Amino acid sequence: MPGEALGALEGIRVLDLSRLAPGPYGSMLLGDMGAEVILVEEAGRPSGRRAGRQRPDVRGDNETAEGRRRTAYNAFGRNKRSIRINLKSAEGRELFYRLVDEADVVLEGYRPGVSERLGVDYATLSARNPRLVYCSISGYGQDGPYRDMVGHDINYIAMAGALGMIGRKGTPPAIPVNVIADYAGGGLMAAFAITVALLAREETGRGQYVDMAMTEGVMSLITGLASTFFADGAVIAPEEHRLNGGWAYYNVYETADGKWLSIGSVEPWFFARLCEILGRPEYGVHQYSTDAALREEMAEHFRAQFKTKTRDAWFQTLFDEDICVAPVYSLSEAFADSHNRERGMVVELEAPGVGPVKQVGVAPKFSETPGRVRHTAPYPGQDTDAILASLGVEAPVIADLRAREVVA
Amino acid sequence: MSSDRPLALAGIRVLDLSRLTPGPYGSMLLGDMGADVIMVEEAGRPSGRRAGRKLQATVRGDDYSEEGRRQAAYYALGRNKRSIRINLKSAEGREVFYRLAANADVVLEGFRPGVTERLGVDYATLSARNPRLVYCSLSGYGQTGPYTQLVGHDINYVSIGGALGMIGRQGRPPAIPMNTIADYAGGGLMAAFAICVALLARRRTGRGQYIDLAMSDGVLSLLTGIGALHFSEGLELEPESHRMNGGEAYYNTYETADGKWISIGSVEPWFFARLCEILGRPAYAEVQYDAAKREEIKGYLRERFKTKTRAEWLALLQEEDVCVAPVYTLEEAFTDPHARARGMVAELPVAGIGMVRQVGVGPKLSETPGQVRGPAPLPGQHTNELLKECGYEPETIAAYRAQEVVA
Repeated sequence: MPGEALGALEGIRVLDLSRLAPGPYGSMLLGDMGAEVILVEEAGRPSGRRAGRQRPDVRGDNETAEGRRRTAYNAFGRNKRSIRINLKSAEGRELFYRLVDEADVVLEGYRPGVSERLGVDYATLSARNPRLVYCSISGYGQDGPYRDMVGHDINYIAMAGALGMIGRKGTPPAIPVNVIADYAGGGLMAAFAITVALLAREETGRGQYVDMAMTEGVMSLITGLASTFFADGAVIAPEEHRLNGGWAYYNVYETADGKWLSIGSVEPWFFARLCEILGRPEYGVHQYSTDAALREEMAEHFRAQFKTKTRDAWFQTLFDEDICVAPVYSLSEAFADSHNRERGMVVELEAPGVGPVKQVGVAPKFSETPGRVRHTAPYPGQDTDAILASLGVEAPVIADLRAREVVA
Repeated sequence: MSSDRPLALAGIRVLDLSRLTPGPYGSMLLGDMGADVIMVEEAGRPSGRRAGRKLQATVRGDDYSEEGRRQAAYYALGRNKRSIRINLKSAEGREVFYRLAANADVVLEGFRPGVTERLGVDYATLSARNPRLVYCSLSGYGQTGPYTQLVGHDINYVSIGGALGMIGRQGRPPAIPMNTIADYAGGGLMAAFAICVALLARRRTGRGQYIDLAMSDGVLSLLTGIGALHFSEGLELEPESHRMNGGEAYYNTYETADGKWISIGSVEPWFFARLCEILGRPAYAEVQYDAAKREEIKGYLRERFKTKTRAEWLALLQEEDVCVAPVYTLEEAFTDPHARARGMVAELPVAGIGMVRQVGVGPKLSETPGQVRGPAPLPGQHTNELLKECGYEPETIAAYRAQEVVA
């Protein structure tokens, strides 16, 4: 982590109005790469149905040791600054507009229509700053029949056709945590789209609006499977496809110690070698057999064989044999693994008042402008004064705005 | 889908040396946004263990037969791209590639670490000729670290990244989330993002750079939020133990009277309260997060959802604020009126094949929208055209073809 190299996105300023997971992950990716990300958080108490019925979340404040600890571990907030503004007040909105004048990107994740109600929609902001790239992340997008439907990751992957393919026969579909819609099809796809729009701006001189629906991000992530469906009408049921456990050569097996091992011997030469090692070289030529009895016989043999040694013993043996193999890790195993650590995927940093904390590191490794975790998440409103001062707001005015809860 | 609108990445040229899925998906995303993506494919017969032992399930049309053309038309990962076939193991072939690289902005490759050096198409060699080049190596475990030479596929990368172990139902093997998380998300999409970041950096620095992207690292990045809970609370996720993987009633899948499934994601207390009201047990709203009540509530929801068909439930719930969606098959997903209204099914006319459907473009850009301009090329379809662009004379091209330097 060289301290001197400038980040790739140095000089790009992002205003992040989003909450929850998808937007903050997207802006974290941009922040890791050097963008200046400003969290624009609420000032004033939550109103309406959100008042008083909060569920625990990972965003903490500076008032308690627990709040400080939560903030330190909140990786989504790292490398960011925070200002709290009451956007429902005319003065608050005006301050936001002044931030927009200096910004390159606005990211928001409200239900469609809310940004208009708050006066922070694309039409309003781009009139002030035509170079602005404005990305709306939502479940189903800004138009179409489901525009106003509420949802979460599980619903987006269900609607996109992904969830129905995941699971084992005779069980309910298995929920792949919130990786596919929230993080991949939402936050990461939005970060990609924003960089694309910034590149376009270099040519056109103008920003633009990005309508990012998580459901559509998920549909994009199943492009290959959809191609096969469009070409051949193949609909994929759980455990009936080579990629969801239907075949012996691409599956998970329980080992002697009750742990699991994954085998991904797609290539015939890898599969042939695996069959040799498992004592049944004759299976090698039947990798793709459609004979149900033979397939079950092979699967049974594999299951029995893998039960004879521990997971880690199998991993070592098959690693040396050039087989596509990996241990199915728990989270603690994944983050303790020597390779993952050597690749910098666990970063440790000092959080003021908390001590050293661990976070997931930066995935793409850049040779010239490497991404970095520079500091932990800010407390809500931690940078309010500094950011207002940078807009030229005088200290007495800031004090007055605070007193009237326009900012906090 | 094509229009007169400008394309976001017009003028960006990408040389794609990658095979299989992750790299081609990454370059497809760039191509949809307007980049000129050139697939650099092999010329000459496959050698070694790959000779004659083709993978069973390949969607790439690899010949000019009717079936090959049909496969190419549907092969969305190749759309908007051009194809040149070069034998990189010949000195002349390498020189052709160098000429292409001299005018390229991006090289993407997905070989096992070390192979590009052997072929002479590694970053050091190419950046010496074109310092503005952004070069992305997409591999399973990265260019460094103890597993750098370990072979693998998506299932292995999600295993070692800790994702697979969280997915499944109790008492059953982990459920494999297709190849969405490592190949598509942590691999191809993360690569496309990283490449655009490097292109933005180049505007300021004037120089390209090298990107080492490991799919196993990409998977870990996608677990940033869950990792934060692990690091701060020691959270481990057994299947069906957590609100995000089926442990709770309010975020789960339920079977309906017709044997189909419905997903409920009522995380917010006000959404769950509304659901409980509709299902006739408003009192459950008060114990949404009560671990002692979890199985009872799940059991009740299972019973209730069995009493109507999926369509009946959707008619009842879709207008309510409860976070509900049908668990669709691929066919249902791509015929749904919303997906179609939003352009997620692209239709393009392909000569000799007819109208072909493909997945549309995910992010919708207002001024420079992504487009599906044309189907995947057949291997080597643009060899002559690209050689001409590089300044090769027709006689040289013919000679190279005869010597199998290109095809």
